[in-house]
Amino acid sequence: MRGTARRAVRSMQKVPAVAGLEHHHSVAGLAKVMALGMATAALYVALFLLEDPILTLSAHGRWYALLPVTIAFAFSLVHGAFTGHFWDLLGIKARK
Amino acid sequence: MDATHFIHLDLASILYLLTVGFIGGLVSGFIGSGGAFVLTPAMMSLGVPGVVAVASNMCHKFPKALVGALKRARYGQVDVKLGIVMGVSAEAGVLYGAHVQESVRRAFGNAGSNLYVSVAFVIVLAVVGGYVLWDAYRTHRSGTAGGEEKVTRLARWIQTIEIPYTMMYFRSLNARVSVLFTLPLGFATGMLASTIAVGGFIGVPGMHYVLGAPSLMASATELVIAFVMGLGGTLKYAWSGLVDVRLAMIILGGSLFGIQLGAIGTTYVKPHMIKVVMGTIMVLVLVSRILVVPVYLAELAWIDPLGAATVKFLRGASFAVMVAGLATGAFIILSALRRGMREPPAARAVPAVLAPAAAGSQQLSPLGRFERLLVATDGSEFSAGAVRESIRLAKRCGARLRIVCVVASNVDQESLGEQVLAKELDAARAHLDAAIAQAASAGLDCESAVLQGPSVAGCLLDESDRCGADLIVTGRRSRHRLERVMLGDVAATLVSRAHCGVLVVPRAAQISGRRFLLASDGSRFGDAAAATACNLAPRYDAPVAVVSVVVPSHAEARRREAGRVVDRLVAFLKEAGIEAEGATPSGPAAETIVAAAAQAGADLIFIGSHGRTGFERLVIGSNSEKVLNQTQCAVLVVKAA
Repeated sequence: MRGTARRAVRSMQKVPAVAGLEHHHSVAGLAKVMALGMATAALYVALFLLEDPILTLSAHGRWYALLPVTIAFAFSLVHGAFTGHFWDLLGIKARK
Repeated sequence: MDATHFIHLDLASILYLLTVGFIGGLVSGFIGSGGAFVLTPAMMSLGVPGVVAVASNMCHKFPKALVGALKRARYGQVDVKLGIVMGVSAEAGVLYGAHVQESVRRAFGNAGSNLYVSVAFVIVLAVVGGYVLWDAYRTHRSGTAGGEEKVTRLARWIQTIEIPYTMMYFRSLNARVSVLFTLPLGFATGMLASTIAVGGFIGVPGMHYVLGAPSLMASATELVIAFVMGLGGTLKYAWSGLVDVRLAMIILGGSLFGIQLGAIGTTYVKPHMIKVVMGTIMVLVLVSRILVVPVYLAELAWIDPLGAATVKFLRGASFAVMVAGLATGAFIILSALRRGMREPPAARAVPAVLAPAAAGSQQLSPLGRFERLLVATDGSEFSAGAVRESIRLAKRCGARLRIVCVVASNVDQESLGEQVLAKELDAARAHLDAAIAQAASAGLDCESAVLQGPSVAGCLLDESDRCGADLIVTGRRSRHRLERVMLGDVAATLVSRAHCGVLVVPRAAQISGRRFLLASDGSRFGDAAAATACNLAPRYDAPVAVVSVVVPSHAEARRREAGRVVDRLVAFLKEAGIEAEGATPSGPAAETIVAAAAQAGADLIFIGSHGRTGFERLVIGSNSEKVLNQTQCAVLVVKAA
């Protein structure tokens, strides 16, 4: 018997210490989703508040092309992280 | 240019675009593409000029593809290298396709351009969609829907063609393929993308049927291609000031929810279901396009004019069928997801490794038995080879596979850094998810567990004893001698202490069955290695080279004995119908075995532990450990009963 390695975690849900971590995760996860959700909402609000200057600059083309591309990257990072955690929070997760 | 080509958006328009974006994203996340073609007409129906709709569609596409690719990369489904290689050629296809579009428009006007697009839809969807559906039906009928996807004969042939200076290894194919085959595929993907907005209708089937990638990986890799194409296309249109970033971001909002759900959905379905969804959507879109062809022909005056009511009916029916195509795809995906989610966890996680061995097993001896495999992964490149080869071995042997990830910790660390430990446990589960997805893409169900303990090797040894593993499969880190002494070597510890065989797979090693090398010194440990080689070689259809090394200091009697050992083992293997040849090379044992393996082109070395070779016999396992550390191919260290 290798006593020192007896604490192998067979099933994460069945081990109290780890179950505690799961709970901790769910609270932390909720906070994270909320933060990302608010950041996403802020991006949309900013996009529509600054609608006119953004469209005017975008219409100029040439090096202003970087403006819509940068906005798209910013949305993909923040919004992408939000939606990923969003489905996790609802319990819709990839099959293990 | 001023901003007059950008429309005013009200709440109804925003909700409409969000919904269409969601459904488009759902389909794209599931089959790798296919949702985008409905977005351009959807924007145009709000009064957005066609070219702005195309530009904004492009601008929503690359961030969506990026998010989808990152998500599916977590499940181990993305071949980034193949995606980038094909994406670059696809970019050229996009530019050429746009040029062709423009030429057609100049020559035949808008009606001609629309007819060109519709005919492209009809031809591509009829050929590819029909074949995909037929293949899915054939797979379903043959009852192998849950099994490993077969690589097509075309793909196998392409993988055998060696064209110097053009060969490239792709993880998804697990083979080297000339880029001269990927270039036209990528180009066609890009050209189709610029024509009908969905390059994936060529890209995904192309990677699957022509190159030999599993359908799950092909659909995931298509997202990388879509990202490369989308970014290039967006820059091109944005340079002309045609991108309405509001439209793009609204559609992105909906489609990001959809694409993530679609990506999750792929983990709940069998690979053939991807083909069913893709084929169904393709055929319905094909019908949709066929319906409007007479309208364009009439506009070009190539047939008699149609009545206004007929035109209206045909256009309406076309749009309705296209929407039905997407809705059908979305329904199939959501149903599969719902069924998968409602399946009780117990049914999804049967401890298969503890279950009785497969009914078909005829083996009585533990020697060379491969019914229960235990593979360790840490998510690093060093364990990638072990995971890949254990999946292939399990498939070939019909073995049960248990994948484990060890989080090394002790009581002090746990009390001091719960956050750190939690993070590591999360990472371990992510590694396991990726490995499980990799196994699933090969059609293999497997078990998994996160293990926690102070010693990685100790946990693995405990686990192998507990589940009665026949073989432990592990990777190998390339450490220098001093590092091995300071940090310990998991593979070496497993080899010296495991009660079962240990297969050590360096990261780049592949066991393809080109040739196996059996090293024996004539001891019972060598015989155990021979029995194991005899069991495994037929499964890989591999010839075996037998060597018994003699060192310069050996007496002549030992040299003659080595010859007899080799003859005996060669006869033993030949009796089992295995092609075998023998040699008695001379030199330091481990170095000579490694050199013999390289010379024979072997991709797997069998060696018994505790061999008897003079002084080295005193150092338990030292020969096998030396071989492990010196060779670039996989080594199976066999323990005698």
